Amino acid sequence: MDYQLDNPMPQQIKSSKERVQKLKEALSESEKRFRAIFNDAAIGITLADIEGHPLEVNSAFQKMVGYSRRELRKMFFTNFTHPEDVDLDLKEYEEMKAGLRESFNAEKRYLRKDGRPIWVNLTVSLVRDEEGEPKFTVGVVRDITEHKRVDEALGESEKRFRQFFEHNPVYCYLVSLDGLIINVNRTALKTSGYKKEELLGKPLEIIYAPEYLSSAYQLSLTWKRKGGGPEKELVILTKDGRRRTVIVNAAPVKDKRGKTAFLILTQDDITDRKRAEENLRLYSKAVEEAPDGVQVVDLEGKVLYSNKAVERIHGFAPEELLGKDVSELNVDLGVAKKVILPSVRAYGSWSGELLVKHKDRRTITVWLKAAMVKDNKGAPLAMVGIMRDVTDQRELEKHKDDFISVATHELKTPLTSIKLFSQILRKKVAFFPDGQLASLSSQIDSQADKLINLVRNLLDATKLESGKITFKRDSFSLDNLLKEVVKDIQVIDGQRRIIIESKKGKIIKGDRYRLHQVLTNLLTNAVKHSPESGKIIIKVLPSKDEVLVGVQDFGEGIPKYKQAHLFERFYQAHSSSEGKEHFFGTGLGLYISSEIIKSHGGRIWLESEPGKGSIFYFTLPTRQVRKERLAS
Amino acid sequence: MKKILLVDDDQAIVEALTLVLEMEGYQVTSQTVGFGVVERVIKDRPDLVVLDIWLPDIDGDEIAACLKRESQTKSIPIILISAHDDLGKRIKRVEVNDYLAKPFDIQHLLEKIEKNINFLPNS
Repeated sequence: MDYQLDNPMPQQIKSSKERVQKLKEALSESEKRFRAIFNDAAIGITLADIEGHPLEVNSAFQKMVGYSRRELRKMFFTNFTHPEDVDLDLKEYEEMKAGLRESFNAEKRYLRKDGRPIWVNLTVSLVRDEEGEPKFTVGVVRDITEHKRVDEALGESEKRFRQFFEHNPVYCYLVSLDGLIINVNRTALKTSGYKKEELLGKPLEIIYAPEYLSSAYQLSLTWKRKGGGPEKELVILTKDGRRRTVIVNAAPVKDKRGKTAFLILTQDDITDRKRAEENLRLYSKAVEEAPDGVQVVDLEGKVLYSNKAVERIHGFAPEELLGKDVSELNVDLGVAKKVILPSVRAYGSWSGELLVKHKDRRTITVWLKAAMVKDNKGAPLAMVGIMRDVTDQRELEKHKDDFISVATHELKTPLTSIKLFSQILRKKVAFFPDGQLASLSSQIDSQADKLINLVRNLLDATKLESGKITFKRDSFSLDNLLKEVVKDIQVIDGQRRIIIESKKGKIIKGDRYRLHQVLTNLLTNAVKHSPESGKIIIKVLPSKDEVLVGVQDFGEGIPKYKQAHLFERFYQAHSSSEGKEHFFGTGLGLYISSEIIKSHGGRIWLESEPGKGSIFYFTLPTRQVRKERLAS
Repeated sequence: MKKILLVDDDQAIVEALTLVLEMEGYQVTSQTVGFGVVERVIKDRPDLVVLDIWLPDIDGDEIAACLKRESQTKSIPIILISAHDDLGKRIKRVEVNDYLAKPFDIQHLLEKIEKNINFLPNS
């Protein structure tokens, strides 16, 4: 060993002096060289005592941490280590000190003098003295901040890609160039029902519906050739056999050399969208083909849409109607603007019949029901109308009405003579000692009356139904009317007591003849259903806006379930099989009465309790309310 | 004896009414068509005319209107009768003394005749 200093030779001191000198020179030369290496090295080198106190640092290290040699000599390594990393290499350091290891390597952060953290790769080795005791440590420090940043960035981008892949709402597959599934995302697994391991390494074809296999294969060839490519609509099959329509697309993922490494395949599931579109198409087709006319107009009444049935009704094609003002289509030019549109705006709907011009200039009768179309927040968007050509129906009804009119006339004519003859007969036999003849002739008379009433009711019901009865507006005394009706009833039935409870002098407006009919009907019913020698009470209770009339009997009453139907046409509370004697047997009396009262703007109802009797009430408005009620 | 002219196309009604009215002491003449009624009224000068509306040739309300226009006949009371359901409407269009819907109670007709018949001597 050339530089051995520890074995001097005392015998050759002179020559050894020279030798020492020589050695010293050599040593100094060597140290110079080492120091040059130490100082000029591109990596940081530290020499520290066992406690971590830097003894010597090179300039690279000083540059790295921003502290001067002098500053560093007063510090411990913990002073320039990032606080979070102080504990990091402490364990290894302790182990090394204890002789358990000779060196260690760590990646850690230093905190520069200017406060900026840097990443370093640190290798620390222990230097021992002759006795083997730890003497100092040598650290080799490499600045890896830039490297770390690139690394981190790469990791970040991969993380982003992974998240994008996993959580994509579209089904995503990574597919190798030979068509095997490398990865599949969560969305795809959730819909397909497969587990990840069931798909990985399998050919992509596993997910397609059989009839789409060949086009899927063709597509994959195109992708391979072009590295991605055109999208296509295909059908996939879930594990449990459900079909989903997807739009498939592929893009290449390239390696560092720019060669396609694998394909990323996306499948946009359009099944629900397609179904919604199909439904929408179906609904619009259904409206288009609906047997009744459907028309949509804007809030001003301009036609936005008409279906085919509208053309059949009006004769105008949907294109001809587009943009037209609905008013122009009606015979009465004002009805849409003054009645229908305002009613739809105010009440949300309108229904009724109106006369409409046909393209061929005929006038047709159309039944229309119009309503407001609103958005989810209730704001009006447009109006929709459903219409039906009721011209033939009205024509038929007119024929029917005419027929009934003639038929009742023809029925009444013989009844008139029967009645006259029976009355003559009664007069002639009145003085005969045998009372039987008088009784027989009066039976003819009362049977004729029954027929007369029946015919009259049938006619009234028909007229009410077609709205043909026009009501007069007489002003008359209700008391007088009541007295008159009671008198008439008592001619037929003298046994029951009829009591009128009324404040005098109530004058009402209405059709006297028709209200006479209502009261006669209610009283006749009361008589019919009262026990003989029972009493009947007529109550008149005037209030602010209306007058209430009640007709009360103390008969058998009407069960609850029958009450609701009582005012319907042809309904009879007591069927003939129950053996009651009927005065009018048509079941029309209460229907007619209720229609008459309703036409007067009043209400009619009953209160009844089986075994105790019934009270039939009706009201007649005495003020302006009537007009409002009629309007609505 | 007061004279009543009865016009109705139904033979049975004419018979029955004639019978009743004669029992009540009226002198009754009758016919079943509208044609010639005006001439007859001018010629016979009845004290009252009972006139049906629905006649086979001319409508009774038109005959009534005609009678009420003629100065010679307008003072003669007319009672319209009809089994037709639009009697009420028709009445509004013509000025007659009274009307009665068929079928009616004989008593009602007699009252109306009593009320309307000309008590003044015919001139």
